[in-house]
Order: sequence, then structure tokens, then C-alpha cells
Amino acid sequence: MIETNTNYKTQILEAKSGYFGRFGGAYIPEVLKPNMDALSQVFFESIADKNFVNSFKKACNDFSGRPTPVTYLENLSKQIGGAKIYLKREDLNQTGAHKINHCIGQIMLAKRLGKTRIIAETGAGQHGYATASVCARFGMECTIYMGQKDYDRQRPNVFWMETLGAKVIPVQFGSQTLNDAVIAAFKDLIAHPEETHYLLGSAVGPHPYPVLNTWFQKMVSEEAKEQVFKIENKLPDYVTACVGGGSNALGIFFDFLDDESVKLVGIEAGGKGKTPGEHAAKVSYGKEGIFEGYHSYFLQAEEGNISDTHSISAGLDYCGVSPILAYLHSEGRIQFDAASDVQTLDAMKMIAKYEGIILALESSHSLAWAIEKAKGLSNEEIILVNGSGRGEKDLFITMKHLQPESLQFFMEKQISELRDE
Amino acid sequence: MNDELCRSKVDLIIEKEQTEMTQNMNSIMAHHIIGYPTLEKSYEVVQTYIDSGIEILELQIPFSHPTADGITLTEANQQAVENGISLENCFEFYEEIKRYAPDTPIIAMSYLNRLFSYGIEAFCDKLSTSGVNQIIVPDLPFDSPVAEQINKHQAVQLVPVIAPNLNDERLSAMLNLQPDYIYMMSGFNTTGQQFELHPNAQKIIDAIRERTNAKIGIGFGISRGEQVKAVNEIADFAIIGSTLKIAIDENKIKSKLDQLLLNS
Ligand SMILES: Cc1ncc(COP(=O)(O)O)c(C=O)c1O
Repeated sequence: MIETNTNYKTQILEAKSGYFGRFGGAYIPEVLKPNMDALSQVFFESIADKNFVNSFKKACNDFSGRPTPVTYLENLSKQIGGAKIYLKREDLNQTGAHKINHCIGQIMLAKRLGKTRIIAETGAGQHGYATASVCARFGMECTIYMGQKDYDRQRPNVFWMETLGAKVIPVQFGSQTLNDAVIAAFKDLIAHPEETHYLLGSAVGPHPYPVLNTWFQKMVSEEAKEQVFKIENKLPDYVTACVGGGSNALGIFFDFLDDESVKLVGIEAGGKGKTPGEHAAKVSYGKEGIFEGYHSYFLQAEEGNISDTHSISAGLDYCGVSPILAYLHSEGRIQFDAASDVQTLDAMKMIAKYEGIILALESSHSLAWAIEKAKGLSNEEIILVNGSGRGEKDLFITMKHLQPESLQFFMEKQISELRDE
Repeated sequence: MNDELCRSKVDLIIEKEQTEMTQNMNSIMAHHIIGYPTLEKSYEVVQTYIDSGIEILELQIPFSHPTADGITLTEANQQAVENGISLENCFEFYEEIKRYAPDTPIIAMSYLNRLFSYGIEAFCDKLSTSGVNQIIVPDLPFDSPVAEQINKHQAVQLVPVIAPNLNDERLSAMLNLQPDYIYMMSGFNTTGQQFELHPNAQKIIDAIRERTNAKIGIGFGISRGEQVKAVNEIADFAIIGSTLKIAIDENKIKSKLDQLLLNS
């Protein structure tokens, strides 16, 4: 049924050196080398071991409700009057996003390595939340690093992580956001290399993380390809995903990489504008660099310093992008574009109104692109969007934008009730 | 400032001999972040190090996100970046210090992205014309493709940073590069945390000594005279960073140096 013209899939999975063209690598302090080598070895052994692969699948099915469906967004598509838009429902996963997929995979590797302790970074708290969940389920001690700023503004997620038994440590240096949490987690790993597995949350970082998280996410496209084909008897014409670090994008792109007819489009956070500090679009506006262990595109200030980022969605608010995506972009296989904060909020409102789905702000970036694109296409054509997460987590941000008065009223009411108690 | 910095070589040698005669001093590599707390003050501080008898200087180019530094040096890095310290400022700093103390070895230190954005080869050219021939890049494995570019450069050598978990195979690979200096982490810490010499350290040092004359420094977490003395017994010099940064903040740099340097 499917024509194969290139071999990007094998090329990526067989890159045991961790280089994808000039991108990737493992630019780490020597002290971390044994740790990364051991992780790499156990990963490549495990994916060749049927028992491991089956237990991974079973855990995803039993714990996270896989396979997730694809939903034809019929009302929305007709409203736009162009291509048919399909949504892969990763929002229906345990903890509400695709992040759980690589969390399940990595914790199983950590068990194989005999580790007893998991650490992770988190920005908004989505990855920390998923990590805390698998740690509770698989019986591992869990420490989550979170920038002080994120810790303060995402307090509800801190509460859930703590309820799941995790210790959440606010990071007080730097800009006190995601980057600083990544750095704090690496420092923890340097200090406790024997017992700790660092469960990194995207397809970024030193080898083997990019390929490892891509592998644990690729079932998303394997499922979606079959699901769309079953309904439409053809492959989608476009596949699109939002790009923070790139884990959900690689998940939904992977199985289509060698299908030349399928155009792949990564959507970055266009934020408020093109000025540095107002967006988080690495491929669109960033520069090549080597940081946090890998060679890729980064948002940079002068002379190699790393610059600040902005996005309405915390999950896309990060300075780097997967070296695998950087490579596939340099090869011309994946196109990149950006959606602004405003376009994203509009898309989020539209899918809620016409389809009854509350979509994450991250995923709403790619939906925004799909809505624009669909207008210029015929109704024979298909766009598949990765619905990487659900939007309930964004309550405070979306409400602040859409109904600031109601939010204020609610908060004041809550506070006065607390005071009266 | 240039004139003030230039002292005659003879003066320096006499001074050095005097200190060596009068005291039995510890060997120390003092670390400083260029531009902390200001560029002016950096010149002053580093001259004080030299005048007090510091043997080697490790002069770091500040970086916005120093992934392997502890909280103390992270703050200093960020302060220097905020001060707007450019690479040009750093190269000039090397030149000036070299002019002030031509016999004091300088080892540059920088995170990889600052070299990468300048161009590795251009960076090495500029570094060597500024009088510096050694560089520590903490996030650059000594056998990566980028490290090879540095290793190929005629005038610049990469100083490997190793830890007590280095296995035999990696040790051999590292020694094949014939480094003049080797930087060894005292244990599994980032800079500025508790000092504790890992039991494997001695074993690795013995293995290095058997095969080369490379000078070995031990660093991470050293803050007291006894620790410096202990390190001097097994390695060539102690590397001190965070403690000196704190001393700068507390305006106690001279007394701290005395404490650390006196081997009594
Ligand atoms: C729902 C959702 N989508 C996307 C992302 C972005 O990450 P990535 O690019 O790795 O998929 C996040 C990150 O937190 C997320 O929570």
C-alpha cells in the first residue's frame, strides 16, 4: 500500500553514533559519558528485544489507553471549506499528552539499568506530571526540577506532581525557567550518576535522548497512518505538529518520513513577533549552535550566548530543537512555519466550538496552521494534525486571555473563602 | 591601564624568587570569570592573584548558561554577561595579563557555543595570538569532531576535564592526545559544592603518571588550606574557583589567598 523512496527511518534509527548529518552528538562533560553510554547500550539492546517491545506496548495500552483514535474534524473542516482535517488524539492519553509515551519507555529502560531514582526537568509541568505519574506506577523515587518562575505560575501542576509522590525542586538561578531546570537536572545527574536516570522530556539533549524519545513516540504515526488509510483509502497530504523540542512532531512524522507524497510541516511558537525574546521559533529565526549536549538550531543572543524565549504555551517555550528535526529540515524533508499567540488562541476557540474538543495551546499552534492551509486546498486533500495534548491544563492562561473578569471574580471569591475558614 | 600593567620581567623574576625562598607555597590554579564583578575589577583581582604567587591562571569567558558550574559561578557568569563582556574584551584581557606576567601560564576556559559561534579555527587563531595556548571546554568531549578541530590546531591545545569514573579505554584515548595539562574533578560534583576526594582519583593519577609528564590539577569544591595541601600531595596543583569568587564578594581576597597558598 505504501511506496518507499527514501530511507530516513532506518538512517535515524541506525545512527548509533548519535549524529544526524552534522547535527546531534553528545557534547557533555566527560563525567557523564559512562551514563550516556550505558543508556545508549541498553536502549539499542531493548528495542531489538521482543519482550521489551511487547511490554512497552502493553504498558502503553493498559496504563495510557492506546491506541488513541484519529478524529475527522468534520464540522470544522466544512466550516473552513477546504481540506479535510484529522486530529490524532494524543490528548486522550494518561496525564493528557503524548509525553507519557516516552516516560513509559524511559522508565522501563531505567528499570533495566537497575536505577532507583528518576529526575526530570519541567517547564509548565506537563512532562513533570507525566514523569511523576510513571514513577508512582513503576515504583521509583522521583525528583522534578522546575524554574522558580514556572513553579510559581504553574502551582496547580506542582500540586499534582506532589500528590503523585514527586519532590519538586524550584530552581533559583538564571531566568528561572525551563532551561535552568534542564541544567539543574544535569547537575543532579553529575552528582548522583550511579543510581539516577535523567528522564529527559523531549527529542533533544545529548545522544541517545533524541533517537530514544523518537523511538518511543513513533507508534503515534504508525497508528495514525493505518487509521487514516482505513477511512480514506489514501495517505494524508500534509502532516503537521507543533514543535517545542520536537518529541510529538517526530512521533507523528516518523512513519511518514519515507512516503514522499506526504508533506511534513513543523509549527513553531511565533509568539508576539519576530523580535528576539518574543517567540520560540528556533528553525525559523534561530542559529546553529551546540548547547545542552547537542548540535542543532538555538535561539541565541550575541556571540553564542543563549537568548530568552516567549510563547503563550509553556510547552513550546524552549530555546532548542531536536537535532533530528534540524537534520530533516536541512535535507528539505520537513518544512517549518510559525503560528502566533493570537492565531493559536483563535484555533483553540474554533475547535472547542465546532468539535467539542479542548485542545492544548501547544497543539493549537499546528491546528492554526492547518486551518489556514486547508482554506487553499480541495476537499479531496487531507491534513493530519497531532493533537499532542488536552487544554484543561491551560485553564489559567486561556481564561486570563478570554475571560479576565470571570477569572478575577473566581480567584477573589476563593481567597475570601479561604480567609473565612 | 596598559602602562600600569607592564612591569619589567626582571622585577617579576626577583619577586618570584623571593617568595619561593621565604615560603613553602602551595601550587594553585586560580579561576576567574572575565568581567566579574566588572572588567576593571577583574584586572585588579587577577593581578592580585599573580602578585600573591598563584602559579597558573584559569580565565573563563562568561556564558549565559554555564551548564557545568555551580550556583556561585553561574551567578558570576550571568553578571559578567549582563555587564556586556564581549569575546573581544576577553581576548584583550588575555593579552594584557600576558603582558603583565609573561611567565604565568594562562589556561582559557569557555563553554562550547561561544567558540562555535565565532568559528572554531578563528577562535583558536585569535586565542593563540592573544598569548594563550591552552583551553578548557567543559562541554566538549576530547574525542568529538569539534575537539578534533581544536586538536589539529598548531598553537592551541585542549585541556581534558576528567572525573574519577574515567575507564581505562577513555584514559588511553585521552593520553593519546598528549595533553600538557589535565583537569581532574575531585568527585561527582559541579563546581562549588562540598570537597571530597574520590577514592578512584589516586588510581587514575598513578596511571597518568606512568605514561606522561602532563601536569595534573584537581578541582571542584576546594575551599580551605588543608584541602589545597592534600591535593598538592597527589597532584601538581589545586584548582580554585567558587571560593575565590566568594572572597571577591566579601572583599577578603588577600587573606583568602594567604590561607590557601601557605603550605604550613
Ligand atoms: C501538549 C504538549 N504538546 C507539545 C509539547 C512540546 O514538546 P515537544 O515538541 O517535545 O512535543 C508539550 C511540552 O510540554 C506539550 O505538553
